[in-house]
Amino acid sequence: MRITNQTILRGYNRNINRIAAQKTSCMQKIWSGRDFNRASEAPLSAAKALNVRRQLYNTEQYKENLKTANKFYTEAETSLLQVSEDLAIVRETIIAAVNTYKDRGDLAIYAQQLETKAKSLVSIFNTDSAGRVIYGGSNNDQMPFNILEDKDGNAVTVTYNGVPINAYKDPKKFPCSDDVYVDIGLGMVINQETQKVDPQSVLKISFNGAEVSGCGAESGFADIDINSLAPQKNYALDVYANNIKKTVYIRTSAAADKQDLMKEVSDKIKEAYKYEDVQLDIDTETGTISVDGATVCIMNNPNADPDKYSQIDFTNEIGYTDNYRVGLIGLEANKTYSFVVECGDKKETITFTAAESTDTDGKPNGEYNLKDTVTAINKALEDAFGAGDCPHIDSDGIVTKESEKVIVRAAGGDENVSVEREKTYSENYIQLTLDAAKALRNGDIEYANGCIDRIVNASESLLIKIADMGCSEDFIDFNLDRLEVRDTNLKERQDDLEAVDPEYQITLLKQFEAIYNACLQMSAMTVGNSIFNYI
Amino acid sequence: MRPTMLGFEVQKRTLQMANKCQDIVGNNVANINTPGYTRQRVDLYAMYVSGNRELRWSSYSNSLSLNGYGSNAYGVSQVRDPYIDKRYRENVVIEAETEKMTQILSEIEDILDNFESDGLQYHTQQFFNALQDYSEEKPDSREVATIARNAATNLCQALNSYYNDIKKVEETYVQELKDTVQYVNGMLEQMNYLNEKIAREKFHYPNDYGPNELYDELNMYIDELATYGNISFKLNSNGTYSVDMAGVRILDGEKFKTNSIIMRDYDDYGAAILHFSSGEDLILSNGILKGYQNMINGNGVYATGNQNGYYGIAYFKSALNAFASTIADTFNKANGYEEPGYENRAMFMAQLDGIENDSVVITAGNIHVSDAWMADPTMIGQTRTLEDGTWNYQYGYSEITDDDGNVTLQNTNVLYLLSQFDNTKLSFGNANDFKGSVYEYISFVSNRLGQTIAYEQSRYNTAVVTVNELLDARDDVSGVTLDEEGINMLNYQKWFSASSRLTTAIDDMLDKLINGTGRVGL
Repeated sequence: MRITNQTILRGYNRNINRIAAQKTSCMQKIWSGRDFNRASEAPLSAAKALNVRRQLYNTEQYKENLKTANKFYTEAETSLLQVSEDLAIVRETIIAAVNTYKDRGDLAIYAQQLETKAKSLVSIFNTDSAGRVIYGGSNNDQMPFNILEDKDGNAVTVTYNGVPINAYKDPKKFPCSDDVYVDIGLGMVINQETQKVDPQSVLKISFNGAEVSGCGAESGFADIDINSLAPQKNYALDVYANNIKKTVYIRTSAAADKQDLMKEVSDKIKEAYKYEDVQLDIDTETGTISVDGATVCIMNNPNADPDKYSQIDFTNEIGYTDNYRVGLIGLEANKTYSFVVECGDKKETITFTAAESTDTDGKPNGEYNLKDTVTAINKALEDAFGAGDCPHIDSDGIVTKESEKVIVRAAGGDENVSVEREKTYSENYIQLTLDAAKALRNGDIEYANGCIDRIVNASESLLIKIADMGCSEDFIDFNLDRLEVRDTNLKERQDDLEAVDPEYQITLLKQFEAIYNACLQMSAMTVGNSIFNYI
Repeated sequence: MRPTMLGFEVQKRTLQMANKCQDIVGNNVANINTPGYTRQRVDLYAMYVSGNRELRWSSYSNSLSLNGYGSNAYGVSQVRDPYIDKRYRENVVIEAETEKMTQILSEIEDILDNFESDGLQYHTQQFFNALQDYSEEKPDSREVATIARNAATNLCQALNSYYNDIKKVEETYVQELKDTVQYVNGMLEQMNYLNEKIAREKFHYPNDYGPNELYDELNMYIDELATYGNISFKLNSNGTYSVDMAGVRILDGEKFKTNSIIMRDYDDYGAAILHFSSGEDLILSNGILKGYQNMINGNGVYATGNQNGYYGIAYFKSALNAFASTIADTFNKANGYEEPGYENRAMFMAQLDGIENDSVVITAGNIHVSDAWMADPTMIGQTRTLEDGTWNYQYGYSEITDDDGNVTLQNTNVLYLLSQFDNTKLSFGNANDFKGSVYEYISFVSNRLGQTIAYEQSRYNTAVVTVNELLDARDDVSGVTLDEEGINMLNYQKWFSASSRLTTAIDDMLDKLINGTGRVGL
């Protein structure tokens, strides 16, 4: 085989260039820290690396989302703890007001304290975190809770996102009640047609204030002050009847009579609810709007142009249950009292004598005995309606019969026993606080007393919500840990795919360097001696 | 019997042969580093006398007189193996083609890189991250919404930049192809000129070898021409070479004509099309010209008309366009652009000469954030609800409340936009190309480019090895070795010395005959 000079030189050049290229490649890998700089150098690793990078970016983002959510939840929990403390104070205040005799002046002071506490609760619920309202649901702009005052300046109505808190029993019906979610890398599932997010695939970062503080009432009615109506005026009213809202626009006629004007308002409201399954009962003499067994609330539409629309005065009152309470407190022993009971198709007047207590030796002491009085009344009821299937009265004075409506009326007379229809209570503890204040202001100790148990129940529910929030924070912490681990694993994987093995590359570099130097040293031999050197 | 001076004649020719052989040795040594030089040798043969009666001056019974006429030379020939030449040219065309394709693809990879620089994945990810941040904040927060919009703007600008860069690469290589075609045509002219010179030499000296140097030059041109396209060549009877490229005669050695290559106007045809001046299309199977065509016209699954199925510049331009178009359509649709009456909800639009144009298909070159989004960055924060009564979708947005008292400022729409990044049912380009999510497509394109380059690189590496082996094989036959020439030199020197000595001996013998024979008594 003939080895020509050209063959030797070409081979030498080719190999030394190849070694130089390999050496350069090694150096590039070492100073870039990367095993490859182009996808073409390692297509499979590059494809995997792109995927890993994307997951890393996403993990970082999800961690940020979780940290933001964590701050939000912490603030929310702190707020609820403050609410819990305030509720305890509300309870104590009401107990102090009802437990011993107070005159109206004292009760008014307690009422004022309760109002102040209600406003404090509202301000807690209106807290924002970095410009974002915590308990506004998806309302990120305005303060969600507000307290409306009556014409005497007393705080009477709590609104949530512009709607009376008693208007809806379902917190989701309030404006801005849609939950706000954030993607934390659980694999967000969203319906492509309806854009509904699967709540289990994301983290909720909104809190519905109505849900947290309670909403709705068993019954309630709106009371329009018909004297505030004027002829030839425009009114825009938001009516909430039986969980259905309607905005009603009214232009009153030139009629001067207030009742006529109220009739026009009534007609418009009924027209608005024409196609709804709501039986409105509107008293045009008193301005009362009610629905049997449901709640009605009313508001002046907040978006109505004040230059075009006038405002009416109104109150939203708590409704009544179907229970009637006979006033059994403070009766005079041995005095006869009576009241009327209607049950089924029977109507009976029940007469009883207030029982007298006895001393330990069994002698009457002239003191009123509630327990024996209740027993006597039940006996009278049995006599009137027949034993076994008659209404009964309890120690609170509530007259009931199982599965049948009972109506109790006062029998008349100045010194007869009082009969009142039992009022319902709001499910919202801020409204409850205000209602308790109003009851104290009106001297209605019974009603205020009834608020205590409900405040206690609300406090217990609140503790459950705080616990839930704690669980959510644990969930956030868990996910943060999970993502940290994932981050670490992904970075390891990225290193496996992209990072250079410095020890290996340095060794390789040394090797190539040695070979390169050896080649250079051999350069003199590429054009070696020939026979011409020896002849 | 023999002619008296036969010996002198024989040795005279021998001395001439030895000198010529020495000259050729010197020529070989002098040209040892000359590119394309083929080593030469004197083709010697032993002289013989034919059976012509007039030359039989001795008896008719033996052929003694026909022997001993020494040596002669046919001429100076080149030592070259045409088979190796053929194989070399068949393989170097692949090496050249793959090298060119790798070079062009590497330029595209420089542009679409996702590793050394912030590539398409990075910009897409930034857009995703910005939307995530926006989803956590108040949807009416202009600051955060602006960041999200700016991230989208950056993505659009990145796409515009990639598109324009690839377009520049395309323009560069189209021009380069034009220049290469001109260069090839120039080479053909040179080869034709050499053919003419060779033919003249052959005409005057039809029975002689050579002209070797002209053949060397012509072979070099043929070697270079072989890198541009698949050629075949043949030696004509007049000593010239004819060359065919892709089966069409481009150099006619008998008629001394060239058939130059012409490139059709790229803008008119939308592809790099080559044809001969004689009218036939140039349909190559390999070569640099083929490499250019593959890369310029290669539009993969998007190929139409004169384009081909290679993954070249056109394909990656189309892939970018598909990405831009799909991103725009997906997000526009998700944002409600297709809902009646909500044409102003497009997030991305095409822009021509700085003006939004909704009748033009969105491409990577013209994609821009829409004017509506530029004017109101919180536009994407508006949520979609069903309108009471009509059951149509509507988008609500108000800084405070709308007429219904609803403050529709929650992040459902942004979350819905975010979910599009994980939507694996997106179709990019033709249905034949890719179906998957946005990130999967980026990875797909990057992977396709990387694999194509890796494949061409490996073809190149294989071809280089084969070509180098063939070059070595050619050198084995045609190359000059100093040792061999040195030995030849010694050999011819000794031959010359021996012949000179013999001439002296013959002279002595004749001197004896002429001056020392038949002179009695002197």
